[in-house]
Amino acid sequence: MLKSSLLAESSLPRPRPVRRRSLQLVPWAGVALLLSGCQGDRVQSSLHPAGPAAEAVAQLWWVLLTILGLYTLAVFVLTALAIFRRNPLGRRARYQGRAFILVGGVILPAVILVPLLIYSLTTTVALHQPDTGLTIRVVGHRWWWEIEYPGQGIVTANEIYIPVGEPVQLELTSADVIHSFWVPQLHGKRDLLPGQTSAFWIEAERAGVFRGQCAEFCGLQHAHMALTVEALPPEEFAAWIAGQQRPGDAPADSELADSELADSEVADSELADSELADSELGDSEVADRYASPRVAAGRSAFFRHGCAACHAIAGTRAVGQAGPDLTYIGSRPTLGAATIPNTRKNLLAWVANPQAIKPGVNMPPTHAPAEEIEAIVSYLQSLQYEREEE
Amino acid sequence: MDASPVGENREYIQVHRFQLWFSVLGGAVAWTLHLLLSYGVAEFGCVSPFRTIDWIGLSGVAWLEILVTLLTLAVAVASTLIALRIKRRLLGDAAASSSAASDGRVFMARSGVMAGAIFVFIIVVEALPILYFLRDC
Amino acid sequence: MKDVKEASEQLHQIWRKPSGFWGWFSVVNNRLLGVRFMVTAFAFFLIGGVLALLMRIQLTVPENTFLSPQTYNELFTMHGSTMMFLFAVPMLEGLAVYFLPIMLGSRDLAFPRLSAFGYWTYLFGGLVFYASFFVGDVPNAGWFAYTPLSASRYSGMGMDFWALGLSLVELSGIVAAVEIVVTVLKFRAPGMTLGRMPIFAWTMLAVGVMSLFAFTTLLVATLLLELDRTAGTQFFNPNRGGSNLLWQHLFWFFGHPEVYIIFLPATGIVSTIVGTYSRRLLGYTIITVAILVTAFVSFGLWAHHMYTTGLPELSLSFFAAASLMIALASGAQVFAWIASLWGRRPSLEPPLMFILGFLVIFVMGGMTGVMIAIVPFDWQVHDTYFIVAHFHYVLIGGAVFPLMGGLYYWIPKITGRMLNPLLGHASFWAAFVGFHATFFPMHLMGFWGMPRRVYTFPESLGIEGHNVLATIGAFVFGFAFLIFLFDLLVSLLVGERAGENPWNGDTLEWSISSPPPSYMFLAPPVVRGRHPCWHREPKGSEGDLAERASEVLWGQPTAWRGNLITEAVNATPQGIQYLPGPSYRPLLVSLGLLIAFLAVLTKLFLVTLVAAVFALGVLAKWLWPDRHVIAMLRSSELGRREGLPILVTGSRSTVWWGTICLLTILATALAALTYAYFYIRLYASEWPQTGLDPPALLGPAITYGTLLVSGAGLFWANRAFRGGKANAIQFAFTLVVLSGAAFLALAVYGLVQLPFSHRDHAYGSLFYLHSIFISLLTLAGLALVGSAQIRVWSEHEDREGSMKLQMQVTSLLWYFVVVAGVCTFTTLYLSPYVL
Repeated sequence: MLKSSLLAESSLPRPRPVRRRSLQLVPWAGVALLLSGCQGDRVQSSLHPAGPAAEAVAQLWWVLLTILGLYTLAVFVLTALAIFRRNPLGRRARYQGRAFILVGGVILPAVILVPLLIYSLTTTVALHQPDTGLTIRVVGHRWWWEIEYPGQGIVTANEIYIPVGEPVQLELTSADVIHSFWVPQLHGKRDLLPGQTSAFWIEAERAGVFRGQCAEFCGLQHAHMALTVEALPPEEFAAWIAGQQRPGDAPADSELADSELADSEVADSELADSELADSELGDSEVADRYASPRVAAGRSAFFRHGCAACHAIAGTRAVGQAGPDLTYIGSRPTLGAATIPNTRKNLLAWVANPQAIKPGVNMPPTHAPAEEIEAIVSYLQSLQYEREEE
Repeated sequence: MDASPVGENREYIQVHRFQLWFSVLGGAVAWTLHLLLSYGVAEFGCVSPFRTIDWIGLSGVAWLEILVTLLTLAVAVASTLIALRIKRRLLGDAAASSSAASDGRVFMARSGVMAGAIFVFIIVVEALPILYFLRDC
Repeated sequence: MKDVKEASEQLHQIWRKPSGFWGWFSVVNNRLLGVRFMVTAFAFFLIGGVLALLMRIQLTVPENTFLSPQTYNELFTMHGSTMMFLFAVPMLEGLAVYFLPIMLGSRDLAFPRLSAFGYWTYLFGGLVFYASFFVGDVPNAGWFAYTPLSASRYSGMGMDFWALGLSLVELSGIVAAVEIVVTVLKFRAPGMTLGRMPIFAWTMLAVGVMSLFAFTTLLVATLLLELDRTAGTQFFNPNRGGSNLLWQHLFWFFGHPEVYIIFLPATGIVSTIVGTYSRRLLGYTIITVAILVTAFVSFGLWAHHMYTTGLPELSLSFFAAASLMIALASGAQVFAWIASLWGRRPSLEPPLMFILGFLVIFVMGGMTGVMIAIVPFDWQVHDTYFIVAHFHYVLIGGAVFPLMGGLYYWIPKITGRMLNPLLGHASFWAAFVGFHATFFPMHLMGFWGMPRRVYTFPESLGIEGHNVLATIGAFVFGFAFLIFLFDLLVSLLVGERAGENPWNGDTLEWSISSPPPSYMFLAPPVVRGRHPCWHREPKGSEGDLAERASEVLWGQPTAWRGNLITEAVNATPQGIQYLPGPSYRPLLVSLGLLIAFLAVLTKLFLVTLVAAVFALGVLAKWLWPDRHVIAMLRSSELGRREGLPILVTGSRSTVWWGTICLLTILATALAALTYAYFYIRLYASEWPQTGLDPPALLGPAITYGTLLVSGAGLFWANRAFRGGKANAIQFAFTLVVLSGAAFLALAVYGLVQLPFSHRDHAYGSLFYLHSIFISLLTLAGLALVGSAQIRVWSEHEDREGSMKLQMQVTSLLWYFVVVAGVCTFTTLYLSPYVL
């Protein structure tokens, strides 16, 4: 597969001007197919655009490849001819040579480059920051993303939900070093600079999950600083907003918050080996999640082990700012800034020792008996927002 | 510099050394000024109230950029013309004479013509973006 | 008249390298230093290559754990820094140090001791870089060291090693630049007008001038970074009014020209080899103009590394336009080479093979370069593996391949023995195939979402296959250099003798034996065309000055090292330059600097001070005119013949040109500091920061007024010097020294009185730095003026020759100090009222 793809790349089919906006319809299917990838499912590819900005840039690329590719081929052919042919230039070689140099090396490139510059400028202006749309604030941290919807009062981390079909304004800044926000299927990059806010925007044309990643080297775990953007149809997005706006942990003032549950109680719990964790919590289960002693024990362990010093959970006394907000951690698709999928097994491993998964991450290992960690994980998994069934 | 004749049979034609160097480097210097000033105006203008000034439909920044372009373009064109003139003077009628070919100044003037033309072109191309940002940055 | 054998023996006596173990440390001959540069640089290249292979192993499979993230980050930082600073630039410098004088027909470089100094600082700088491995705190913020990641808050001592090691290497780059510029302008063979210079010399001239600006800017930037790290200044701290983008601007103002500083000499090599193999080089003038255009426009591209930082789109578009336009210059060169080769049926020997490989790779890299100049496209591929692919195409394709071609071409001249063509072809094909296998897939990885500088990648990106291919390719590529080394070894042991001109080359290095004799040319060769080894054009008339100068210097001088000075444009003989012999001073000064820098690392600032004073002391001794040498030169018979003076002054003298270069460096430093001031000022919400009042004007006006007085004093001293009025000279000099000293005292007093410190905010840091810079300039200027005064007073020699030259140099520098003072006053004291 790989080899053939490389071969295909070097022998470009004769390209025609790209007229289509949609990538799937790019005329010269060979190269397109190759670059779109063999697997079809590229989660972080700038050549699989899902929004107008990324699409404009992808189209720009096909034009550039066509024109510059042809020029390159011409230079290669001329080089080969130069070496293998006898001298067709006569005594006037010097003058013919000069004309050849000026036409091929200066005038022709100028004729190519000036329209390219104009095309580039037109695209730049077309991708200008729109004036309207939802505003999301993104703060880069080493090595995770703090996501805030200032108008909606929602704070989350490493996941962005946007409505399909409308531009979303991003306010980008950093809490420490320079990061760069990059979700290739939606738009290019914009740096997150400490001490200043940059404006950026994204827009998705279709629903889906799009992976993004920090693109500016930011230290030890730069490789594991990713995020997901999920575009939802407007109704679903509204539902998501509504769900997120409820306090994450309803019985904030209940006795559970401060009650101490004996370890033995957790250990004895019949739920210890249950399948609860991997199952989706249904509405009814969410409603009475605190009926589960396991979750209650986990909640208490969460506070006892100092997790709240760094993490916040809306509606509780956990208001730590150093780490990601955990209000609806149970509903998040990934853990550790999109390092691993959010499964029970992964969450257990993460809580127990994140250093094994993401060495150097700021979160220390949790020194607690296995049952307590199980309980904490159960508690975290119970933190899910209510999806309203439409 | 104050070059002495190489070909001794020819009458030595004086070219002021400032003129000579300007003919070679004038275009390059004009381009340098154009880029630095254009960048400076944009960098400064786009964060200052200047961008909101509107005069005959163009922002203050755009006016300044146009001014910078015209001035530096004039310098580049002048250097090209001077290079052309020096070249003609040095070569005179005896374009093919060996002493002319051995004079480093002829080479400089020749390069000056070519470099000047290129830099004029580059300045013009570099001014294209202004047309896209006439009202704002 | 002596016979050739006797003459060459006499010349060899004076030019040969010092003998013995200790003699090795005092060598100043360009050929020996050139080889040292190249061998050291190649050693660093191999080390950097091994680092790259380790990184490739780590990246073979997703989520690999071969290297820890910490180690990986250290390796890519060191790989980038090594290849850019310790390999590419010094390697090409080494080639220039060795071959430039030979190609130009001179016997050495213009400032032999400076070449030695450049080598030692380069070596020490490289060692400081790698010393970090022994401390266990390796630089890990990338070769671009973006703040605040490289600030002391986010990275350890490793970055101090980086910044200080780099400073030494930059210093080496700057002195090499001075050396190269002056050599090309003043040490050409008689008759080698600008229009007859080899293209390689043209590229080195361009690169020399570019380095003066680029390396100085980087030196200022690293100084600011190191001050932030050790002295607590706030230049790059946004919480205290500093700016992180300032670092990026300064770094890339160096960083982009740097690419062309590496690339241009490589094109010089290409032009040389293409010229030899096609027995002509078409478009000579076009190529030189392309070099000129590249040299300038490369400075106008820096912001294209900053497209994603959120600069105004208008600014970005200017840089996009400039970035596209530089392609015209490269295009012209490529077509000139194709035109030259057209139909000449060149024999495909290893040197040419590498050049053809270069053409293929570089054109591809150039095309991706055009692509990433397009702003919106760059938003996508910036900081991805697409960029990694692109710059390896232009740097390996654009510099390493020509360099390998150059080595295959020139090693026979250096060692006197041929390399094996079969091994050469093997090396080329391994390099060519391995290169594409490694870097071509990276374009695709970039599109599919692999960012740069990641120690691992998730399986979900779907790029495992490409990474496996890249790793295999990297090892094949690395193997190519082992073949080359083996080839070199075999050649040294049993290689065929090369003879004078194995390739039928056209430039002057092929007119002398291989390896060349220590003095290189028995007499300055008279040049009458662009290809002195191909067309031996008829001698000029008897009265030709070039012929006469060549005769005068035939086998001469024998009592000291001497070389012909020629005029910058037409290369007409102007005089004879005395060149110093072996000396330990360059090594001692570099050692002093090294110790001073190491002491900064360990925070032993007292040691720093002592070492710096030591280095300055040796430097003073180095620069002080040697009375015995001057007496010897004055009595020399040589200077009386044919109007070729030995103690030349003004623009005839290499020292005068060196001073102009020094002023360029200082002016660039001042400009960089001024830019930093206004850049930070532009983005500050209030100025001066933290609600301070603008500085008072009256006191500083008096302080800086004393500088103007001293300038007037020097003007007077010069008039008195020309008029020969001894008392007036002393009086005027005293006025200069006193007013200069008064300025220093007042400036220091002003600093002490300031209500803020350099740690408080970026404004404070800038204020102190500008004031200290002008004070140090004044101090250095005072030392020069003082020494000139002493010399005029103590030596009653005639006011021609070396004393006149010293007056000229002192005046240039002091007038510059006065102008710099005016600039500083305008920036620090006037601008807050205006802007």
